[in-house]
Amino acid sequence: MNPSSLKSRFATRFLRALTQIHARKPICPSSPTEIFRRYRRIKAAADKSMAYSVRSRRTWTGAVLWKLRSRSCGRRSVKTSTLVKSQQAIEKKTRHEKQNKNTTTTTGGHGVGFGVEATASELRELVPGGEAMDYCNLLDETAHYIKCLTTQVKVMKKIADFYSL
Amino acid sequence: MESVADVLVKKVKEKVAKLTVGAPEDDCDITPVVSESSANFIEGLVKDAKEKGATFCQEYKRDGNLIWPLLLDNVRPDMRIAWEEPFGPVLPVIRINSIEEGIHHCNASNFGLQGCVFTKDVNKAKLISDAMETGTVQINSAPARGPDHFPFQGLKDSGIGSQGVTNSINMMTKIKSTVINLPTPSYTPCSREMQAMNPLLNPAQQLPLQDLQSTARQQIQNPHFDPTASHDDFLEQMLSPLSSCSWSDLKSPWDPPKSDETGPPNVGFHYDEVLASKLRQHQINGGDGGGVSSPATAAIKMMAQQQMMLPGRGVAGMPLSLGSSGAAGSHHQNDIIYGSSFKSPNQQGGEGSMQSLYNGFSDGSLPGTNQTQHFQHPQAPNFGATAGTVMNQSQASGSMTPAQPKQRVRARRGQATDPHSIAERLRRERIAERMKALQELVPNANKTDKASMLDEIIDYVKFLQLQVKVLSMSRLGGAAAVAPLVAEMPSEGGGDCANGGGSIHRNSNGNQTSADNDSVTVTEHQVAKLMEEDMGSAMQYLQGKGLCLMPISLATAISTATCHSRNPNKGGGSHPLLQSNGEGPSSPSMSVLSVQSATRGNGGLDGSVKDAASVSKP
Repeated sequence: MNPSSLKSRFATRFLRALTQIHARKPICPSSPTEIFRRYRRIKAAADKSMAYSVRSRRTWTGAVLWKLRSRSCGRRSVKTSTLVKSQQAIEKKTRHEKQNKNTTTTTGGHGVGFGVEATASELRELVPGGEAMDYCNLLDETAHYIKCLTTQVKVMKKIADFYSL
Repeated sequence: MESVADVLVKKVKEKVAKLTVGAPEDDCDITPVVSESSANFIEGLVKDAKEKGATFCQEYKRDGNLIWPLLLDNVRPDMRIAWEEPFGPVLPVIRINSIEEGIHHCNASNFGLQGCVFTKDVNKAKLISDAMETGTVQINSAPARGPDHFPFQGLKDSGIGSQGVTNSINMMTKIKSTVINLPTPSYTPCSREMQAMNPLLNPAQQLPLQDLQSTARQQIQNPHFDPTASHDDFLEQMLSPLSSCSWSDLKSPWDPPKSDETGPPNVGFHYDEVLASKLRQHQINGGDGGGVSSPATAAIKMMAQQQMMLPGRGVAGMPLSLGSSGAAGSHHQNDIIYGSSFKSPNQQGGEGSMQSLYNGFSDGSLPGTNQTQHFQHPQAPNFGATAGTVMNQSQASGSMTPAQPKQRVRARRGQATDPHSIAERLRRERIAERMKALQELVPNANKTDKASMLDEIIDYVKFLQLQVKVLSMSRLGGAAAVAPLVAEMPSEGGGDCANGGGSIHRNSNGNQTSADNDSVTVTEHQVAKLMEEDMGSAMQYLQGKGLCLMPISLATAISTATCHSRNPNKGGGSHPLLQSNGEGPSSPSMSVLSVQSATRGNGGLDGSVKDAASVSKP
């Protein structure tokens, strides 16, 4: 396997995260809450590793990380400072995209605003960070997101299979 | 320019200080922005500018969605606020040292809705505004919508289409032509006259549209011309008579239609016209690059062809001049197009130009690919342009230049020149190519049509996300943990689950049997099997069984295998987590399993691994 491919980067990160998760000893491991928590942690680890492994900065990676961070800061509405910090993280990512026509802002009119094209609303909900993009970029992001998701699933499945041996 | 900036900033600061801030009910100048996320966005821009060292002329203050007006000085292009619209009361001042710098910054943005130039020098105003790539430039005014009859539109990423009285109507109007084709040419004094003489040359005659259409239509009814033929077939049809390299053959495809209307006259011109039209045809075919081949475009080609012929009829030297155009660089507009195809014949020099034309054409066309390379670049817009030039030519010679073919060709010309349509078309192309890329990613996507493509994509994304969730669940390991979540499983605890599930994989061991849960385990077994083969059908199977969001039972099937992962003798040192798990199994079932593995005599690393491997494979 190519040592620097998306697959390998994600696999390394994810395994590292898994190690950390499994290293924790819960108080009562068989309680549903504990299970749920673990599931959440693993899923969060998977998403985070995926977002970090992506080399080309994409809007959805930023949105995923932001969601994770805001969730980890507490389930209530996030405070301004935290929000700004996480926003800055996203901005760092999105800055790279400026050259690639990042349209996280609405394309504005003056007085009579043109706004963001409001099609494919369901897709926008599915793809993280999709709300603020125009349709064209949304499709772009979706393609990349699908690619990364399939990689993620493949690697996780392989890990699961490996465990099953 | 420094002095202007300082003065300006000072004046703006004074004005900002006078602004009232508050709720709109109190008639304040500055009111809250539209939403919290918008306010957060603005704050992000401001913080970014602060980090990078912009000069804050006021203190940044925010209360909920209300942001106090803020003037930022010494903003540099590496700050986000120089490029992104805040949609809030934040005004960045970028100091430039030259006009070019300002224009460069303006044009470097991806947005281009409005721009403003403030100056007293009218020449500078004109020059600068011409250089700015925005939809509208306001001179000595803030951005505004208007005057009303001016189009309100943007370039690049700004806006779709155009607003404004005329423009809106045009944008929403597509010209549609309806052609009534009569079976025979209709009689009018004009048409009769035209047929008698050179019918298509008289500039003064204003032919009724009907006649034009009918004559044009007749010309189209070339028996060799099959509108439904493909692009290549058409080319072959056109070229095949030429391959025999004889004049009489050249004449043959064109005789039948001609005999209908023109009769005796103009026979002498046939060869010229035929050749010229064939050349034109070839160029059109080549120029298209095999892109569009539809009956309509073939018809257009025919039309253009016909028009090519028209000058040939009256002007004897026309094709000849074409032949020499490449060398002479004459004033004809078609030089560029025709010249390139005639490079070879013109180099032949001494021959009569007709002969050279002919030779050139046969040289060029028979190895068809040779010529087409010339025309890779002149694609649709150029085709439109050449059709246009052909039309111009024919117009110049006062031929019929009917409105009908003009309208047919106009669609392409319009697309080529109208910036709105270009932008719209580009946008549509971009979306189409992205949809195509997505189609390749999503399995079974070619079976669906475009309309439901989006649904397919959405389903696939949902499915992938679900898979991730499932796999995250499965990696919990400790099937015991999963048991309480399973409603339909008997409540004998996780041990049963583990045992039941484990029995699938350890039947050969005979250590444990699963008396209960047989049906469930069978399901799991099947699902696990399916999962390996095809995730999709696995999911469908599960859904069919009424297990919708089903991580549980499936996870059991997978995680029973993960029970084996508790075996500390797994793998090498590269998997420390396995080791740590194996050390302290916390649940009773775990202990059972580890005891089991112990009893199996897990002395050798490889041995136990092999054991497990052979056992667990369904």
